[in-house]
Amino acid sequence: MEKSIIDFIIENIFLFLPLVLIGIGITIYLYFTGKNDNGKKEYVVGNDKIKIGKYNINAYILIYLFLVFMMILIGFLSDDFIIPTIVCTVIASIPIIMMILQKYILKKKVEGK
Amino acid sequence: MIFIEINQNFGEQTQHLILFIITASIIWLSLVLFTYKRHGIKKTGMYFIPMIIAALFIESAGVAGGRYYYPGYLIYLSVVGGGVPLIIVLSWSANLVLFMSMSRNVISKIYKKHNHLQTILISITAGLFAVFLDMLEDPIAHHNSWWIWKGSLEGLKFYDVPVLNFVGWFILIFFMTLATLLIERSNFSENRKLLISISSISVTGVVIFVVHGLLLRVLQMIGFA
Repeated sequence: MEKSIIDFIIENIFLFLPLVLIGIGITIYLYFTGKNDNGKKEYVVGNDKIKIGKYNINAYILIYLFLVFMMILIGFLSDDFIIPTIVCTVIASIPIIMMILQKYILKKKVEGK
Repeated sequence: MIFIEINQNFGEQTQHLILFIITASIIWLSLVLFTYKRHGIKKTGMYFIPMIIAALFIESAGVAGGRYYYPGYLIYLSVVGGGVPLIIVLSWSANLVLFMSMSRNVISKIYKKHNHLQTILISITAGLFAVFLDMLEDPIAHHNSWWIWKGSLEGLKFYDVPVLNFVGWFILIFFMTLATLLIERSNFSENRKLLISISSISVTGVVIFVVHGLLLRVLQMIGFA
């Protein structure tokens, strides 16, 4: 009989509980004994870009596109899996479509000002 | 106790597994190198190590529970009884960094204020992006037997993949992104942030356990799982 991860953890609670309690204890200690560091650096999104030829491309989007491309390739190479691959590719393209739309809308806004 | 096992029958029962392993390895290495180059060793550790540990426990419990298994990989790790391929554990950390960074890119342009609302919006978007990609990856993986869901599993399915799996992806990426961003945006030193990110897996793990457990019961009641 298959068990969900939740059921498995509940059945083996005495294995997980000590680890969790130790982890929570250490986290509380680290949280309350830490001093504030005023030299905090903010994350700059523009730093994510890499230069390829003339173009500045977001490295994470490039990696995502590579991953989707490889999955499509494997899907097409698989036996009788072309239609599901196309359907699933449409879904996986949503983040890219969102980013293109966002860039387009922001560009329009800037032009409108 | 961590056990490491080397499989002598690499690729058995599977199709195109080598392509998947090469792809996952390239992505993981690229992300580690890029993050190290841009943000240094401590932040790279903060982004990757917690998810590697969390994935090791969650995947090992999932395999030990008997819902799915991974045939044909080369190196397996086990912490609570189920063998999980090393590349799967590493891929989870790549997933977190990839989706967190992509969603940060989207949200920070729409909502510019660095506050808790922005953190939550980034985490929700990261969870959704993860689900969108998994809806491509999981059916192909199941079809090529890179990981096999037990056929006797009940509930709603998407190309033989239980819908509960996608719920799990959302919850895991959402909470891990939330925890990573909250720690990153705190005022502690970089060393302390790294230590807290590792120790706080226990706190995030309990939250994921409770939320996932409650959702599972609700989905079982309405026949989705």
